[in-house]
Amino acid sequence: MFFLLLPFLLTQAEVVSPPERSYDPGMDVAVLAGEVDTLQAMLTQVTGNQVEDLEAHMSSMFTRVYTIDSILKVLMEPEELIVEEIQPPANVKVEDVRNDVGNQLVLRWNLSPDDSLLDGYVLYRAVEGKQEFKQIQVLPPGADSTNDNNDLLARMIEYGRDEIASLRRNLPRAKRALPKLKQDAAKFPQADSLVPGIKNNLVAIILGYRRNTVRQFELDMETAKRNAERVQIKIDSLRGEITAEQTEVFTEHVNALASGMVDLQSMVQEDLPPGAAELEALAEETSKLRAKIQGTTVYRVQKLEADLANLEAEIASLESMIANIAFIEEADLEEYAKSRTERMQGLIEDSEGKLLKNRLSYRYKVVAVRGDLQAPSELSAAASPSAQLFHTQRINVLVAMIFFFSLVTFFISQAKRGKNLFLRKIAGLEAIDEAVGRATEMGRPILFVPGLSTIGDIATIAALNILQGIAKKAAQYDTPIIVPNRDPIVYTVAREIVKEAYSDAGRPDAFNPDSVFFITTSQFAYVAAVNGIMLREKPAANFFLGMFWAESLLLAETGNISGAIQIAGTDASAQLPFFITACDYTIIGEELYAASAYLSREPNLVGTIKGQDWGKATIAGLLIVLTVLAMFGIEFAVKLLTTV
Amino acid sequence: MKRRIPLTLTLVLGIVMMIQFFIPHQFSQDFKNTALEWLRVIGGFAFIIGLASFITHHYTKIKHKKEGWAYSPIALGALVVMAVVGLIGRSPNMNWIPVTVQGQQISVFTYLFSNFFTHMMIPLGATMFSVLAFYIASAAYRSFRAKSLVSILLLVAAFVIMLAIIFYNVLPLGDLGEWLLSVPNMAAKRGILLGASLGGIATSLKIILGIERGYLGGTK
Repeated sequence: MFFLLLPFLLTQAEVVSPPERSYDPGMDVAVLAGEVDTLQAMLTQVTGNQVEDLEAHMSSMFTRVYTIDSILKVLMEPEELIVEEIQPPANVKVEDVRNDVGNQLVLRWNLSPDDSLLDGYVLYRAVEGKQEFKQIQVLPPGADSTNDNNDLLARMIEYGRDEIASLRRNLPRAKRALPKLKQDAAKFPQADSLVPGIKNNLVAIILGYRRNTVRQFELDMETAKRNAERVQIKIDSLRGEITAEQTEVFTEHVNALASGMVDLQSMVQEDLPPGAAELEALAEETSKLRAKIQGTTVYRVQKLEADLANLEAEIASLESMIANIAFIEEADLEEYAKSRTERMQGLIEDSEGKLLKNRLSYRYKVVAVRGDLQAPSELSAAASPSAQLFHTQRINVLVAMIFFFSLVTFFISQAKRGKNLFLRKIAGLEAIDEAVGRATEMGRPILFVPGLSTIGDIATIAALNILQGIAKKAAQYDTPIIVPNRDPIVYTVAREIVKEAYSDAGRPDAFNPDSVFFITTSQFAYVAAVNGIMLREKPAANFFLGMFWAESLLLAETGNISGAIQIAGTDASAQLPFFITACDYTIIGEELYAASAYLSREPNLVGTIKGQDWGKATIAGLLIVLTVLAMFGIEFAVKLLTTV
Repeated sequence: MKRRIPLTLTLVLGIVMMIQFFIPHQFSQDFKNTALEWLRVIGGFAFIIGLASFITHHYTKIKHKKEGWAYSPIALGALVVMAVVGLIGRSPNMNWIPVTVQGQQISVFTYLFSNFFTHMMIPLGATMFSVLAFYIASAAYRSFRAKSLVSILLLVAAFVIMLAIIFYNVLPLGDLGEWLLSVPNMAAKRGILLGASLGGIATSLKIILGIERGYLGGTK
């Protein structure tokens, strides 16, 4: 059918749709017939039930099977089209990306009408006013937009610089290590001459500053030899198991496979286009037979022998590498380092030349490509990337921040003027005095755990603010306080806080520097240590304030067992149920942040709490209003709710 | 002066970092990255102070023979062994006292470091973590005693969710369990989150403006 269509195709200047499924039997028949002939010739030899012969033939057999499979695959594939011309993409538009650090442009274009026939698109860029276009990206068919930025180029420049630095650093080291390497290599049989293919690999490995190169090769070789011995033992054992019956079954399978191929040959020779279903059935049958053959001991022996051959090749290659070390000279290392450095410098220069620069204008063209055919689009309008000084999508955050800060400032001023600001009673914070008092009465220490997070966590800072008040009370009542820490910076801050609290209480001499200490950064090791403290020292009051994870219940339950009064506080909502269950009082979420104001009643601090409450009320009100508006499909409300 | 310098630094850097959030320009991003690098560097130095604290704490315990002092030599010994093994074993190109493990030649220090971590640290941590299962059972027992209306509600909700998970596709409780988790539970969690976030912002503001000075050791 293809030949019938050929004259018609030649008269067409434009792309022609593929005809119905058809195939050209010419080359395929020749290949297939040749394969099947060889196969049949071999099959006459395998009937002798000779295991060695079977192993050798099977190796060739599978090569033939894969060849037949690949021919089947070709037959299944649609006819390749003759395309003489392709249409270019159109309407290439370039825009600067907003709210970024600059050096980035976004491109969009209309796909070529021949998109389905293309290999892809190639993007070219030139500085405005210059003719030199540089290839920037290669994109697959269907791509109608892309971002042009410096991410990949920056990585390539970094890679090139790292590589140069590494070569510079390693060259003297490798030179120093070379005599020893050659000495080590001399223990092995020497090669007659340097193998060119190996030289570069070897020099690259030595320049990677592996001064144990010979030893490493030696170890790899020992491993390969050990594996080869194991494989040989397995082969011997399997050969002992092979019976005449197994060989017969194996031969039957091979014959069946060959007859399947003969069927295929007959179909081909009849010059009839085989239907897809027939081909699929034949392929499936071949696959099943192959699976059966693979299940036989004879095949397993053959496979293991292939493994053995690979291992022997690996050993030979390693031997060759070691032997060739004797021929490597300092000059080789220098030469390689020099040429590699030059290559990396070229890469850096090329990448730097392609970097997109802010405020420079660029024009683009997108070229549709199919094989040797190219269809460039028209040039885009000029556009220049730029960095922005304000993130326009964060206006809502700015507005909310200004509003919230204004509220807080307003209430601080109200509090300063002496206006009585009501704060609801927080049981957990009220109980702090009771807990410290209990510890004093019992003559036992107070344990304060400032969470397991770092100083960067605002919950840790809130906990440290509370520590200040508790430490001061402990100092006044002369009650020992224990503050174990997980983070070194938190430890440093906590230590200063407790020390200052003792000074504020007028008892600086009573401060025990050993009462605040660092344990470990390991989560569960820290828990084990704190639990040990709880069980040994039996503190009368435990405070768990700050950020906690899986350890919350481990700490709180141990404290509960030790019989201490426990006050916990965190904004980790997943840990709150554990604290509520195991502690006497729990400070929930925002109450933790209100603690310092609540305890000190300082007007400035109380003002912020009122501002916080009003902010919360405003957000709740806004959420209700916006949700209702969004339910009615008002776009503005949806946008406001979803914009970060 | 001791307070003024940190307070001034906090005020200036706090405001600068706030402004930085709204500036996408490269210089702004560079400034942020530099600040984060500084944080890491300071953290590294703080670790030395932490280490000194650890050694002093255990030395004092041993010296005064405090209760449980016998554990302190073990802790100090573990610190020294792990530090030596780690410093030598993790150094590149350091192959002192080589041993062959699974066909690979490595330093005995690398081998010990890997073994101590894999076969001591990880199982010990896992042991501590697994204790949680028993603690959850005892804590759940205490919580689910129906003493008041709230505890009864908690008990019923927990019971429904447990049944919905255990008898998934057997009892028709899947939707109810899912609803309890994704509606009332989620609403409460978001409420707490909202309050905590605003509390966090307010605390940050207090720290930046120098109103909150507790973290500096006092309010004066």
